[in-house]
Amino acid sequence: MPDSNTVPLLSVESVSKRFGGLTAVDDVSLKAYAGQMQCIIGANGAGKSTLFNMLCGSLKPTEGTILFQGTDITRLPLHKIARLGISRKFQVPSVFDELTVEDNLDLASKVHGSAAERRVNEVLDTIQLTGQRFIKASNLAHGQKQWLEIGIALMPEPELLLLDEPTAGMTRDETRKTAELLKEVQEGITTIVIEHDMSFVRRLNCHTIVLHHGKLLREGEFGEIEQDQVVREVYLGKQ
Amino acid sequence: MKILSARQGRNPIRELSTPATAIVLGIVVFVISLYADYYWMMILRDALVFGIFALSLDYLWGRTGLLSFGHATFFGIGAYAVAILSTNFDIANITLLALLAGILASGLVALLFGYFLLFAGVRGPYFTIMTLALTVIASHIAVAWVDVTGGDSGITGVQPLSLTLGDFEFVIFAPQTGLYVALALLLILLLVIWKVATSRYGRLLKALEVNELRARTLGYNTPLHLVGTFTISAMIAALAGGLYASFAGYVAPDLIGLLLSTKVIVWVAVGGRGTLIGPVLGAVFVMQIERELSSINTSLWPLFIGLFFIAMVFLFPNGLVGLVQDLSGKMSKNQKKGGTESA
Repeated sequence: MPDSNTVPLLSVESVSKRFGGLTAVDDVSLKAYAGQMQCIIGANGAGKSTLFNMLCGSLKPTEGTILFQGTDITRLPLHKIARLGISRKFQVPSVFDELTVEDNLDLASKVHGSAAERRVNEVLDTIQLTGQRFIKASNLAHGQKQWLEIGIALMPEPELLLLDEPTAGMTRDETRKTAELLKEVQEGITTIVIEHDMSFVRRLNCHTIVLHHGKLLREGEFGEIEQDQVVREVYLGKQ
Repeated sequence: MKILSARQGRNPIRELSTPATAIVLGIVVFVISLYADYYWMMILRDALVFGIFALSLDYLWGRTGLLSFGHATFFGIGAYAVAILSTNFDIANITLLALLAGILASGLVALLFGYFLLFAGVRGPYFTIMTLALTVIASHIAVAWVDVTGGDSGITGVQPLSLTLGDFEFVIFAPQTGLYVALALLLILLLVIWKVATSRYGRLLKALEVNELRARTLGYNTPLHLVGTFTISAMIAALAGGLYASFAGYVAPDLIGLLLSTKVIVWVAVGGRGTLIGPVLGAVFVMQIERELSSINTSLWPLFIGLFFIAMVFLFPNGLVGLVQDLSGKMSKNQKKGGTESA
């Protein structure tokens, strides 16, 4: 964990989100530092995806402030937040089914022409889909779609990468490969991962935040979190 | 894990089909024009104008998935602008200026309408219903504002398109000249829209139809792109409307009404949404069927057209051009398979 003098890349300050009488996220604060990887864990309905939706701008917080590189992005529209350097992978594979793998990546590129082609080649190599370059995204297997979406999120070379359940629906082998892929790409990119699969989180072995009923329950290294009695009782004990 | 061969997702025949078919269409129309009589020349000219109109809807519906039931409004704005201005002002090039004014007015209406709806997040059937309301309002204005629009009687004596530069004067009066002008404009628009559709921007528009939220998270201001596409589409529709008014010499409220808005959707769906050339062929094809059926039975022909449309949607949801493309795709697959087996 960086020392307290380091300026965080992302600073979430007392953020809450209410839908009528339901409080999905309740007074959550967190910080993400440059190059750091964090995992957010918690049961269904803990508020993980709602928090992500607020970070990328598709939902606006009811209360609280979100600062990215010192800029207040709380009320910025989705596309402006993306342009600042925040990329997201959705829980359900969210690719452009009608377009080829190459075109999916090309649309996510911030550069054009030969520079874009070079970047597409790099990312295809990273996500191991070079052989599928010219096929329609709808023809990919589920795991490949997940990788393509990670590739789309990586294309603009983001400062902050938000990954919502990157291994959902994957086989054990695909999950292992995804963990390796994330460790490879994570260098230099601040990454926040939402995940249910504890074996995957164990592989990442990073700073972990536990959400429970919309509140931040615990925060620390995964080893500490795994041993925490309260966390075991409300969440990990069932694993 | 599925491993498919490289380039399987791209069919070069499909990518080339629009310019190739446009050239064939141009040659066929030109050859017919050499032998057609006055009546058929007018029929063909009007079919090409409605082909431009169908293309305008396909640029919106086929690229972005936004279905407009209000396209006759934009066609009508173009037509009425030409009719009103050319019958009230006696200055050089008035019809041409009126055509440009109609295109701009239509673009402005679409820009304002699209801005308030699309930036407010109105999409899908909600957007379609709002465009339907636009057509209803526009046709009421055309009927009720008698002093300007001529009401139910419309406006007659619309001046033909002409270009006057000093001593040079070119008037599009004969149907054959109108036919060539309509054909030239149609081919230019087809090639320009094809170029846009196959570019990165065209893929972005397709991406908006498939997954707009995803496109926004990549930094695209998607409502802006949708408003832009809607506006350009409306301007093309107004061009078609203005041409129609100047060629036909009259306008009436049915050019701005719900029936024409529905017809253009039928043309695009029958021809093949998103195929560009399909809607043009669909307009020509359906209009010819209408003519044949109405000569057989003057009262029941709309029923047959309706049944034909339902059958087409159920049997060939990708339209006629989509059907040809699917068949050609299957044939080339079979050929490849046969080649692999024999090897």
